[in-house]
Amino acid sequence: MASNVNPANAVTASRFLTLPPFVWCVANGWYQWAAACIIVCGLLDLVDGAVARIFDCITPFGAVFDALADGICYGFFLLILVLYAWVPWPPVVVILLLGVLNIGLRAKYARRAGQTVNYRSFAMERCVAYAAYLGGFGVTAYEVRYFYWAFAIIMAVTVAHDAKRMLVDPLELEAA
Amino acid sequence: MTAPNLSSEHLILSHRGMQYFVTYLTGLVAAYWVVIDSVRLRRALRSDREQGAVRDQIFGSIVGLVIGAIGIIGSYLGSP
Repeated sequence: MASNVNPANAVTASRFLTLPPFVWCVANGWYQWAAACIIVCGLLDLVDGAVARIFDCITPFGAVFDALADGICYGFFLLILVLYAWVPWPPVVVILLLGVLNIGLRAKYARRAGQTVNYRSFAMERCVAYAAYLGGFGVTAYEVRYFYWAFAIIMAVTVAHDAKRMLVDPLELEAA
Repeated sequence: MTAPNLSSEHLILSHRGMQYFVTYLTGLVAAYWVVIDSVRLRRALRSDREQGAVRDQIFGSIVGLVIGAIGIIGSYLGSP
């Protein structure tokens, strides 16, 4: 198995380098450069998977690290935008609480399965991609309330669906 | 919610140019999303729906279609 110190994980880790300049840009009102930070972070998210395939360094840790980086980076962007009052806080609180609930459900699913296994939710994959855009809509003040509340509703439906699949339905580990 | 402190200095595009950019980007990505998830949904509907994973794919594609529709409507609402 490939080492966890590999080019793909280096690309994933480099996404965190976009966070400090993002804060600086928001604090100074440089909204277009803040949007650029989000775009770079999103592009690196696309690149790390390709790098893992090119260098043949796909690891279970890499998959978890990538998902963690998604949550930390996109969650951080939203928190900063709320702190600087660029986006309304109620939908962001709902979104973050649903994110925490989703993590808890996955931990419960792994315990139920008796092994380290990640439930693959096709709907949540779409939600994560949408979350990348939330930051962009926030910094450009683009139909913020509409996009944020729509996302909160879709995420609530997805988490409810996934909760049933993870906690109630029979285990299908080959689907994970 | 107070208005964000948007600086008019150090711009990459004009404010209006940025609004056009975000509108077209959102509309194009949302349309692409609708097309991709339509294809995935058709493929999943032809598979064995007794399997939980296939039902998950169908649900995921429907969520993708809804998100695509939200994006298209949002780009219309936000168009300059």
